[in-house]
Amino acid sequence: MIILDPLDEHQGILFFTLDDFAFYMSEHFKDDEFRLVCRFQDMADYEAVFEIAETIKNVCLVVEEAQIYISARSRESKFLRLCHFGRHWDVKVIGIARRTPELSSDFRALSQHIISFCQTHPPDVKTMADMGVYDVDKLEGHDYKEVIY
Amino acid sequence: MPKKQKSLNPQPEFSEISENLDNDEVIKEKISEIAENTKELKDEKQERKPKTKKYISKKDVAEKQKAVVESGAFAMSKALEIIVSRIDKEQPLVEVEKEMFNDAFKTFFEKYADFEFKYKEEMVLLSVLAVIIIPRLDIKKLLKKENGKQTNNNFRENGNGKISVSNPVITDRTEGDNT
Repeated sequence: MIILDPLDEHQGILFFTLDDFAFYMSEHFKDDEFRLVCRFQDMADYEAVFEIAETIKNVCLVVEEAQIYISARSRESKFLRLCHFGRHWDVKVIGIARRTPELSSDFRALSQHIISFCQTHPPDVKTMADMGVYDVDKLEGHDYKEVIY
Repeated sequence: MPKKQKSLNPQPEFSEISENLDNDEVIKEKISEIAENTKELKDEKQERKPKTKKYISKKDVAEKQKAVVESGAFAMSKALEIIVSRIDKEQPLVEVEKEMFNDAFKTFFEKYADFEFKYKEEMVLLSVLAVIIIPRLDIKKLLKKENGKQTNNNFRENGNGKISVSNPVITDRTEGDNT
């Protein structure tokens, strides 16, 4: 599992530079299990992580604040490429975002498993309804709704 | 002679076979290649990034122009030194005259102080002008030669700002008397 964690929320083997991450990956990509946390300063470094995930295959990518890496109208991104063709390389992508309208429409359309907590902003509620998750504004506390396609 | 036909199922080249056998090495190389390419892209991006322009106040501009005038005068005096040294070969000039030329070119600079110009180019231009102007300041006329003897002039500025000479004293340079 590779976690892109810019806001210091996850635990694991922590990497602050792409060089360190690339060196570790080149040595351990055949390991059965690993939990790597990437906390880079430069966005270009995260793009490289998507590319490396495509290279090593058979990996789960957790993308915190997914709207950062791919804007709503972006058509050119390594992340988008993984969303489109990740299944060919056995790369699973878990995207986490606060506001769904900010996410790429491709990412939303290609999602197979959607989990939503309470949303109150009308555009957010509408977007969730468009994705098939209804009445998310009526959820309370840590309740959530789940849709699997 | 019949042409050799291409096989419909060409055999993979040796390099391709070795790549398949050594897939791990390929992945390692590719990971390092991705990291290197990203680094290069970042460097290129950094180079292309426009540099922010520093705000220059009117006061700074005035100070800059003043510095130009001063540096211009300095450069001109240097240029004059070169010219003077050439003239020196025939006749040395007294300090007063050098100062006079210096003042003249300082005035010339002050005239252009209101314009922002590229200093170096202006310096070169003015240096060239100096080369053209100075020989026309009747210096050559003052440097008279007579029978292998040279004049030692007492230069003096007249009312028009031109140089005139009074009571030229003929001396023989070979004697080393230069007064």
